[in-house]
Amino acid sequence: MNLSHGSDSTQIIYCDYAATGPIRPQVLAAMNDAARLPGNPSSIHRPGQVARVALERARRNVARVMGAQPSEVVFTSGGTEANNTVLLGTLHPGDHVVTTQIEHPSVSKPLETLARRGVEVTAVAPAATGEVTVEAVASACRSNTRLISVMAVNNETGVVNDLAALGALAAERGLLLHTDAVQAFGKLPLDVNAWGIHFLAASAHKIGGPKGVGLLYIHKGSRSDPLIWGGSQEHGQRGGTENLAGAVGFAEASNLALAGQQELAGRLTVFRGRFLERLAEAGLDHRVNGADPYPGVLNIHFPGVPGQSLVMNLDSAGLAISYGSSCASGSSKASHVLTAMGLSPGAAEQSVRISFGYDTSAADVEAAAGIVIAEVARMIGAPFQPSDKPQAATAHHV
Amino acid sequence: MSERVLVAMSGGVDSSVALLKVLEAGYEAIGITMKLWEYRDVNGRLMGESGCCPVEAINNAREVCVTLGVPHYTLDFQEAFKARVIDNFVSEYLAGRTPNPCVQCNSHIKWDTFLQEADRLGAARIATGHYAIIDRDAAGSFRLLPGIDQAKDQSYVLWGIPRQSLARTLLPLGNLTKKEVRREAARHNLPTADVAESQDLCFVTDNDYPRFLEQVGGDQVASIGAGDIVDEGGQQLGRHPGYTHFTVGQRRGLGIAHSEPLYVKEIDPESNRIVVAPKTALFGQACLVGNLNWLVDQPPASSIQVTARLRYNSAGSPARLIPNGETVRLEFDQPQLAITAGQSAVFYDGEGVLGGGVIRGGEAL
Repeated sequence: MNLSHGSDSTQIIYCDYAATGPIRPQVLAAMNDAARLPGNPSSIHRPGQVARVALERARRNVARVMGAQPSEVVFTSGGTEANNTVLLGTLHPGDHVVTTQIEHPSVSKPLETLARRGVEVTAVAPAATGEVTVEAVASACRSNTRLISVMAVNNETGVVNDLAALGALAAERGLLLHTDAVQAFGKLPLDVNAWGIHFLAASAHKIGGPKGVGLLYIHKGSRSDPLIWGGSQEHGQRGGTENLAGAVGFAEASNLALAGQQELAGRLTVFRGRFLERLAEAGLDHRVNGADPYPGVLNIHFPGVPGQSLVMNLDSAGLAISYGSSCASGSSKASHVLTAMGLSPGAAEQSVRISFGYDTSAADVEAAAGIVIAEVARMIGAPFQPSDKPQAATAHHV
Repeated sequence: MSERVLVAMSGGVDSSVALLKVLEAGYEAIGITMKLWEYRDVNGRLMGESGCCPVEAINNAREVCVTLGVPHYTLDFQEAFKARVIDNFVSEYLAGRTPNPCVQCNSHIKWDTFLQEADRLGAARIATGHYAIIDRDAAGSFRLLPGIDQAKDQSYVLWGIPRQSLARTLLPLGNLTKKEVRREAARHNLPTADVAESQDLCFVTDNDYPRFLEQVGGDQVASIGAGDIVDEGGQQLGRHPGYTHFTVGQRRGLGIAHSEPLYVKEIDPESNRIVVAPKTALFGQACLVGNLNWLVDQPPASSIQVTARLRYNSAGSPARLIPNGETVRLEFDQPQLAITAGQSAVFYDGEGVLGGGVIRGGEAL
């Protein structure tokens, strides 16, 4: 990926798929076609009809990823808007909501705002594994609890929460269940009906789609006020002329993700294992944060190595990864996710996130491991112990 | 592989050209911008188009780095900046003194943290866009010298940096004038070529110090209330809104009609009184300087003749420097106007900066 606008073109191995990833060529092609459609999907005339058909086809395709009906899907500007819509559209002063201490800011920040307006918020801590247990959520519920909001897959650790169990809890107590599924959508099997999910947020760019488009699933029996009021687009749930090219791109990315879901998860499991094997072979002191995560995400604590500086060194050495989540970049504060799991602030500050995805190759993983080993070893001042395995060091254009 | 240099990028034209010069000298550069405060924490009205808004400054710095093909990172030092600079700024005003926050920042945040980050990133040196020169003297020791552009010289605000850091610091602009720096930026089409000069203090975005002190100082400042303006004999001449609104030597804002212009001579936090006097009464012959930092290997052991600068942008004044343990006493050849407690006194010999400290208080004629 050429990250430079200057004359110096930089080849860099990209291992930050939890932040975002390169748009897939098929997606770009589908968007190119859709962007040329002249009509407004809301218009009566035939150009409008053609655009509307493309939009509804896209809606069908994204709905399929989670077992939803197309009429239950509202296209949004992304996961953040979808999360904001549900929380601001369902909770009122006097309501109680049970959430977690590991949510993305697009959930925690609107809840902070709602708390100032009289909504009662309980944020439960995860277990040391990183998982939010159904027991913790159940014991936080009260008589005035209206909504449970628990993310599907954590963006920093990749830890997967048991939505089926949370759905059963919500059904038993007569509560609404919202999940921020931005890191899960298209990557793991999702079944909104079987699991009893009422609201789900997803984003296109985490699965090779374009940035700036996402969706909100609203279960057909559930209601949420719109966040953006306007015309009657999106069944009146979201005003504004639709981002047709974005929706079509999201749909194409969804189709690709769904078709390759199992195969990709298997491939990422192998990559993850291989990466950790390389660290072990090099004798590098490290701890993995979070248990049984989505295999594309690896959150690693390197004792004694400041994570933020490590990320900079890796960047200079040709590997792009994250310190905490990319949304917190520019802030050197210890990750709220890791400290909620019980890591000390010091350990959290020495942790970084590596995330693999659809375009990661085995050679990338080998090269990434080699760079990490070299830079970590250099930073702790220990002599670099090369592994006896050959290093494939081909930089990768993404 | 060429040596790596960490360049402190403020988002202004000076640090942009400093980066350019570092690259031209053949170093491998990394641009670093320190995030020191958040706009919502300091409020105020942003002035003009100065690159003072931190988001804008970070964006400018990043754009310059990307244009020059250099990696750029932002480091968050808000907590340290609050603790070491902003809190100190407030407590100094509360004590009736007039601080130099830029000196505090350079002395306690910038150099230490940049050098620490340089170690982590395997960089041998750091560079900044200050107008000053680091050179070796005849004995091979590093010396801090004024920049050649006398109007822009910033050696005054660098007296507090660690002496050992001189050997690891590059100041590529010391031999350039501001005009040349702007020309260089324009010649290379740097996006910051036309960024306006930043105002006095980066965090007081509207230059309204009383407003800032009230916001950040909270009750301690708000509870001061109105006080008396008195003459040297203790006679009341008027009222003022609170002593933190004033600095020694100030003439404006007193609101007193008097036969001759009156200036703030003393600030008394205990009684919340401002003592005013005619200009002639504001001259002092000597002052005590504490919180010393020496930028030479051998600090003066006995009294020597120096040129002392008592404020930024003032020409120096000849003085006798008399060492006295943790402090020095400056005895001026000519009386000095409005020697202000809290300001930096910086001592120069014929070559450059010997060291500096914080003025404890002036002594009248």
